[in-house]
Amino acid sequence: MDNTDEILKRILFAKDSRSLLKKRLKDEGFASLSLSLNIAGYPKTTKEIATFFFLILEQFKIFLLANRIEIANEYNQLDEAGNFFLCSIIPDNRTIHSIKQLCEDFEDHHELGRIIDIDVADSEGNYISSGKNKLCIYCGSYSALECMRSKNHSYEDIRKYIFEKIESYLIVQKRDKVCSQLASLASRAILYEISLTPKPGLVDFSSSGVHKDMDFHSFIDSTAAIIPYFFKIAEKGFQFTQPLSYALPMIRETGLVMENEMFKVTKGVNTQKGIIFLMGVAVFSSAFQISSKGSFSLAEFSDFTKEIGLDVLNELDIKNFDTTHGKICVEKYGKSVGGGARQEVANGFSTAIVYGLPILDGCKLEKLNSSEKHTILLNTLTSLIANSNDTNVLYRSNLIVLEELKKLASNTLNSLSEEEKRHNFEILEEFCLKKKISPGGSADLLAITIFLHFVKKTNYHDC
Amino acid sequence: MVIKQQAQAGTFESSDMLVLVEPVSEGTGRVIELHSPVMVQFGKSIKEEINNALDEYEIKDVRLICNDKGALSATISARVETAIRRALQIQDGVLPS
Repeated sequence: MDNTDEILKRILFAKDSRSLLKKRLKDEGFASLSLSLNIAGYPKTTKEIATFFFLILEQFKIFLLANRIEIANEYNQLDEAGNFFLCSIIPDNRTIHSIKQLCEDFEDHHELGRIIDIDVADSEGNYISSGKNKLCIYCGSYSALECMRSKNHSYEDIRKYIFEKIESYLIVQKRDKVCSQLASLASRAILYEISLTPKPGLVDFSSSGVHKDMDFHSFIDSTAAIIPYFFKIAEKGFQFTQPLSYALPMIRETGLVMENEMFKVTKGVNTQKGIIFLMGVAVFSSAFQISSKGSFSLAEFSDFTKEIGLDVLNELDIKNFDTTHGKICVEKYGKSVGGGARQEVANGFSTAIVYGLPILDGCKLEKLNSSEKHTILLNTLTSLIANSNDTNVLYRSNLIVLEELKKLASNTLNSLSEEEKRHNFEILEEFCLKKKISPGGSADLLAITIFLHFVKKTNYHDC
Repeated sequence: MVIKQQAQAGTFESSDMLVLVEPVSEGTGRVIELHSPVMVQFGKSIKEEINNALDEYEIKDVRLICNDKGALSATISARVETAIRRALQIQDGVLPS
């Protein structure tokens, strides 16, 4: 008996045992549903095919649930005929034919439906046939059975074709999942930051701080307006293959649309220009990291951000497009002190990484209760105020005020007791109100820190 | 050889075939009932493959019912052969339990 015979024997044996499993369900009086893949040749499964199978299975189960088809007795097995799922159908007032029709719809509407094989058998064990003659997945011009029997295409060709389809499907799925996740984490980080109450001089839930033209709802409105675009920026980062100098204009292209959306809902008030820029870069860099390296490394993220930020300070010298606080402060105080958000990007978010992240790391932020979250986030913000040159502050005051603010933030951090801390924080708050300053740059860095904390803790291998 | 008892092999899974073999009285010849989705184009060649398998065991009289679900030649031969061997009691399993 040669090798091919031996393989065929094993595949047929696997089909026998699948059939017996189905028979068992029939004997218990159940109709059954099974899902497998049409993989030509041998082996019937690989690591990638298995990943694809479980992805489809997940989609199929959601489809069943959405259509209120209740299932039980789930079997999941891998045999020589490939990956296989079987379950019984809990009877309802629908006919088995209408359930078969729904399964056909699932196959028909799925991009790779021709690779998916869903069988339906009634409670007597009879297979329900759609009576359709499906077209060959490879050529699409003849019936699949006809091409198979006539050996119109070689197994190698069909396998190569199917593998390519599956591979590109998995890439798109992973991209969508990673990008949705990054967009969601960016949104969460911004919402955490704006909700943190109280914040010195800044807009928070209970006060507008030193601001007269915006309140908490201005931030809710502009956050909601910019959220959809983080997904687009993540997609750009995930698919980025061009030279590094192309990155910043690409991010900015979406960033400018976000600014417009922000100004529309705030009626011209700049609530979040800084975070649009910073979070845009952070999301882009993270997505690029995850797609090119398969995982997220903070060091590589920081290096990549530095590289795409190389020109971000220099362009201030030559272009006159910008009238941000950062630009004005650079003219007044030089790049290293007055560089603002641009300086943060050029440094690869070092302030957030060095002075923010260590405070959040070591705790699972999402698992803390509200009051614990509040304490740790406020500590992080205070540390960022103490260690950054906030151009929002500098723009509205001067270097002496900035240094005093940093000192007051340090005092708060270095308090020996909770009572002293509360007291020092009140001094910090009063100072901001008195000097009419609002450390918005530090608040942006808090959002970046929270984002990085979550991105670091997410596992991207399962995507 | 002479078929003494009923036997079955194969499944209704895709790319498979369900084969049922029954004894008939001597002199009846080979009664082959084939149901296949590719009957028009390939009915003849599938029957030829079934006959080849029957030739190998020198079966003259038999009733053989085949439900084809898109099986290829090698699968057809294997399933028919198993059904025959079960009917001749030279392989385990008469009807799958």
